[in-house]
Amino acid sequence: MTLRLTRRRDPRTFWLLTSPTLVILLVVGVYPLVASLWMALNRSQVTGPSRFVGFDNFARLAADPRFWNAIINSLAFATLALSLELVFGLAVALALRRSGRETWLVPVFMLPMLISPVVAAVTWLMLYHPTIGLINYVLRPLIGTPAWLANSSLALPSLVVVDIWEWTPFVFLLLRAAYLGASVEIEEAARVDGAGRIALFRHILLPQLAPAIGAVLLIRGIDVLKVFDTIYVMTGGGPGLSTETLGIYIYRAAFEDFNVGYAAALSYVQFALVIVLGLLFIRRVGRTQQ
Amino acid sequence: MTSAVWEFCRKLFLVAALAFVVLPIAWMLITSFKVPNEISTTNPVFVPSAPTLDNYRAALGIAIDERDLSITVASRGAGRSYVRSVVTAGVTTVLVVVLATPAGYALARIRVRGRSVVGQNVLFARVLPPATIALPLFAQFSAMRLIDTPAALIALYLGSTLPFAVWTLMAFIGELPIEVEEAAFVDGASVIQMLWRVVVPVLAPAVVAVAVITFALCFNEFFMALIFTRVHWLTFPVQTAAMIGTGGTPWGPMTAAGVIGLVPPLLTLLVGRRYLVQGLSLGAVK
Repeated sequence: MTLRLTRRRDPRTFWLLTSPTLVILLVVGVYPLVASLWMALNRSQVTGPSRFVGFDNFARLAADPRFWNAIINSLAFATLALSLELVFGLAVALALRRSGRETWLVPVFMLPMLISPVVAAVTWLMLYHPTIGLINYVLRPLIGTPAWLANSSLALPSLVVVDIWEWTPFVFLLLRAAYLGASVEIEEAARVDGAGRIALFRHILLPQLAPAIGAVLLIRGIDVLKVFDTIYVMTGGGPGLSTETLGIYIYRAAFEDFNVGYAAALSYVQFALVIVLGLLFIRRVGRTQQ
Repeated sequence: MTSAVWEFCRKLFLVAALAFVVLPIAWMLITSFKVPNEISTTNPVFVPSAPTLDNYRAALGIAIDERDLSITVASRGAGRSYVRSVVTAGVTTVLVVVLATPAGYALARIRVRGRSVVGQNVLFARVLPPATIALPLFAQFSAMRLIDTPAALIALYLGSTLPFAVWTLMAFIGELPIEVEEAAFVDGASVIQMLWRVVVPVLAPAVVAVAVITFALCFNEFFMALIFTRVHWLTFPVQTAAMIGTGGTPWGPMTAAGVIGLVPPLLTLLVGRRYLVQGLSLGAVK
């Protein structure tokens, strides 16, 4: 008994087992987080020494129309993608039977999210191609041949479709897990009592799925605000600045304009957007697991 | 609405969803076997008349053909970049499992002060935007001459995958019965011995799940690889993306590269699909 208790309360063992992981996270997580704040407070370029400018970078940012454009694009992208992914993911999760023959579809539906974003981008670039693309081949008799990615009002929604393709599987998977965990008995009882499909969904299923929906919105929300890969490969932020999200602008400021301090300030704004969701997420996961 | 109509709509919806998911992948697969003039046409060819493997040779930088010089220049060394991506992802995966298992165990089982703070901070790293990490580390790694090396990439990937790995394993360990571990302690085993002999065997499915997800994430990773690699350690996703816009996009070789790039994540799906939900969601849904 005493042996058991000492093992289970021994701080030395605890730190021995966790310290390798903590050291790595300190070096490639905490340190860069602090260092990039320092960078944001300096004017640093590739040539010449950096000098401390306080909140100058943040002040410039507030007056930068390109920054506000990136914020609007990021939020528009996130809102569109998140809401449609939730609707479609939930619909597929509920449409698929709990068990039986149809379940072979589950691994098939998972495919897009395992595919590399670059490969997904290449595939959709080809589908969206104005002349040789499959989409315009189908739509040609109906609406002609729009240049999906070269049109500044079509490009962002077109990229959202790719995000929906890639990530609805994730939403589906989590909501299906929650649906499988929901009580079949309550559902049956309500059905026997004569509840219609809509009532069944609203009053029986939705309340049981609510925690999972919350979790999905948080995880996807955090990730969709960081979106970079598909946009970078497919449009590079163009045409013009019409698909330049915060992630793309940060990359360009840092690695094309070499304006590192300003890029760091931009990245802190992205961090601020994400952290709101992140803290909610940590609280939520912490509650269920600790 | 009658039951039959409802059932019809349900099936129709599933078929549409299936088509939306599968068609892009199928089209990529078909295109990868086509000759160039069957790709660059406004009337799509659905069955290649003369299936060819040329695109695969070009995608791996094997074919040195006068016809498609620009393609082979763009994909020169692509075979090597594929190996690099597999090695980077493989090494990261092994390290993640070795580091996250004891950390997950400690967080699940050893009740000391500060445990939940440590746990939350580990999870916090999952939330950090890659750009915030990349900017200062790029300067640091440049000074240390680590740009374009496997070490840099592996360190970055450890940072991005350890949080989810630790939390997933922690959740699994928390659900194991504790009695066996205690029996091992009574027998006088050290913590490491006990972990290796008792916890790891029972935990195998979870470890496999964490390993396959880590592998797929690292193999597919683009942003960090784009910034931190140049020539010597250029990864497959970056190489594939670079093929776009080198004198007209070489669709054939690019779709072939896409199919080749699909193999590791597909193996992932086959090996670990039963556990993917828990792994990907950090056990947030229970």
